[in-house]
Amino acid sequence: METLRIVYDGIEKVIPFYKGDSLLSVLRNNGYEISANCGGNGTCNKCKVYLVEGGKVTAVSSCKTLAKADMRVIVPSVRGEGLVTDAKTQTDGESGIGLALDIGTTTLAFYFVDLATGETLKRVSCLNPQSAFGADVISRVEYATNHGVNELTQTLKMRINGVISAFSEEFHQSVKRLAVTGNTVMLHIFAGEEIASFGKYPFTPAFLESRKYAKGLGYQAEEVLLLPSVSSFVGADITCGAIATNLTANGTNLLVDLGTNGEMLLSHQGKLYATSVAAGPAFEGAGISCGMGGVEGAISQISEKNGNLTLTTVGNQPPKGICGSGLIDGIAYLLKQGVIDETGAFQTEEDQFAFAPNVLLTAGDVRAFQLAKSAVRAGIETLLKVANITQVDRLFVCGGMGFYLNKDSAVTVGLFPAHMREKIVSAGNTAGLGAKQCLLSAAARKKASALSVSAEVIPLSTRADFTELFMEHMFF
Amino acid sequence: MARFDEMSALLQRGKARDLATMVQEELAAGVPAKDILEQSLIIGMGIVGDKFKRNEVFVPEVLIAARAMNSALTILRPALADSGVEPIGTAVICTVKGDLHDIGKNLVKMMIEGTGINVIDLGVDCDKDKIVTAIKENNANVVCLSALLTTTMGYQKEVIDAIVEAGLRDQVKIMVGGAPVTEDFAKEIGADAYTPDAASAAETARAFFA
Repeated sequence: METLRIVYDGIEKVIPFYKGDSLLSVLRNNGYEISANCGGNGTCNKCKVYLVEGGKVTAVSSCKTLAKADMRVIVPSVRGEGLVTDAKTQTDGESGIGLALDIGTTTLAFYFVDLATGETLKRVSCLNPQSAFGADVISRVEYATNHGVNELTQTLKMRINGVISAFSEEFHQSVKRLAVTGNTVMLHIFAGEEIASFGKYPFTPAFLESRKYAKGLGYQAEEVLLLPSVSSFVGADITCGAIATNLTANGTNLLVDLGTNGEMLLSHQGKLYATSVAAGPAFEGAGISCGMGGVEGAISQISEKNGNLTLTTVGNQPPKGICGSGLIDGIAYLLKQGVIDETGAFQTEEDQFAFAPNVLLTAGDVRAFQLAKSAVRAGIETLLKVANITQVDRLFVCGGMGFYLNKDSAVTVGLFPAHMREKIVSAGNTAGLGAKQCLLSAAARKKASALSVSAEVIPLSTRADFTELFMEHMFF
Repeated sequence: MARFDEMSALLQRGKARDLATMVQEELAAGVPAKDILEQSLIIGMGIVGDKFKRNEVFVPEVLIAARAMNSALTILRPALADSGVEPIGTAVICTVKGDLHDIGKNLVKMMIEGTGINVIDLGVDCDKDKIVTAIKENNANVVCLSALLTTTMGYQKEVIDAIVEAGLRDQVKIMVGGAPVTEDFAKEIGADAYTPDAASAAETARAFFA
């Protein structure tokens, strides 16, 4: 029996095969997920894989290609690119490799893509190395205010170039176009622009528009493209979210990204309204006594049936803490059981509740959550009011939390209005997906630029009605 | 017998209209305005503040109680002035330059008013000159500076330096607050007090006049 090598999701394995087998059957026999809509008849072109030979990468249909000894095969990853993948990715059919990069405050997500086909060849995610300068945006702004932005930029550049180098070594290909998304501050850091102005009112950005650098900036790509932002607080990640969800298509659609800032974009009758609320870090697990990010051991879901409590943790590990989606489920449970009342006050002797031996929600945690959810809800209500509507056709929830969010819990705690229960769509990482679309298609880039300038930004801090709504929705 | 406990209860439940009516009735019945303020309203606000500190009630309850307090004070003020009762002092309050977050500041303002102190609210995004001028014009004894962001809290020090420079430091007690502010930071920048919440702020401000 002979062997070949298969790379999937960055992991390479040596796989034995029988002479005469097609690559498709070898892949299937070894448990690789691969779609072959035509059943291996060589007509649908869905079972595409990539052969690496002598420094060249060739796309082939795996059903029509015989397995050969020492072949190196890259299988496109199909996992978790978000749930909004039905919109077919348009490409302009350029040759070469593109990279869509989503610079999150916490995580960097890389999508190396074949510009011709739109297939993702490799996904890499790693921590944003700027964590060394503070976990949240504002602490990095503070650092850059005192020391300049350069250190932050260089740290980021080293990590990004490191990931690109590793890709180039593996695939023997360089990156032709790098398309970058993220919040407005992250894009400034990427471009080496000072960010001190983000720390103080009136929060004036150096740029919002799309920027293109040929061979510029010192990143290992022939061309660097910064995707457009809407405002200082509504970044290119939201613009990309609008592209990925096709927000401006038919109907009234609302996109909500839940993080330390809750960003929102509402599309209604050809108009776009954008805003951002300061939710605090509760949805990211910070500022909650047993809170943690969505990493192994975090309680991500809590459900109740016939009085029995079921906890689901990330990676099925013993519970260590609670992340944003678990927090929403937990608060919903406490409300339903009458442990807390509609004002958020504990009704029990003890003013805390243990979901697991070491995982408690305290009275202070409930209060922190009330502030966060009320800020988001008041932001949504204000946008609806400005647009003079009460209902939407779709409510896309983006960001890491979208994956685990329980719609019933979200409505029970009042994060979203009850009458929008059926409209909620967990959309996943729409920023990365939209960046990929912009990477591949000039039409998508044009659309992103158009919607980023047409959105009307609604400032909330100066609106008395926002403060009223914020108070009103603090209760459950 | 004056209905001090009942007025306090109405205040705690935020029943602004009922409270205003009862305050009017009590005044008409000859109960001194000063007694209504001190033996009922200030005590009621104190109870709300304590419950807030223990997480038993939250921002909205404090806010509606403070609004009820305000409506009662509007009625009491002329009566207090007529009977020669002056506010125990004047405080100037604002969020500092670059900071627009005023929910916390507004709560502190109402809680401090609830202790019988006259409060001049300068609003948000205030530069040091505006604050120094307000201290002079109102002959203030207390200054409360709020900052919600780590990037704006540094301006609290600039305000304190400006107050020193203007020769007003001995006239005023300076209190600082806001999410990122700590006891150590307050000491470092030369403030007189740091308070973690609105109820403590009101107690501390009141204590400056004891």
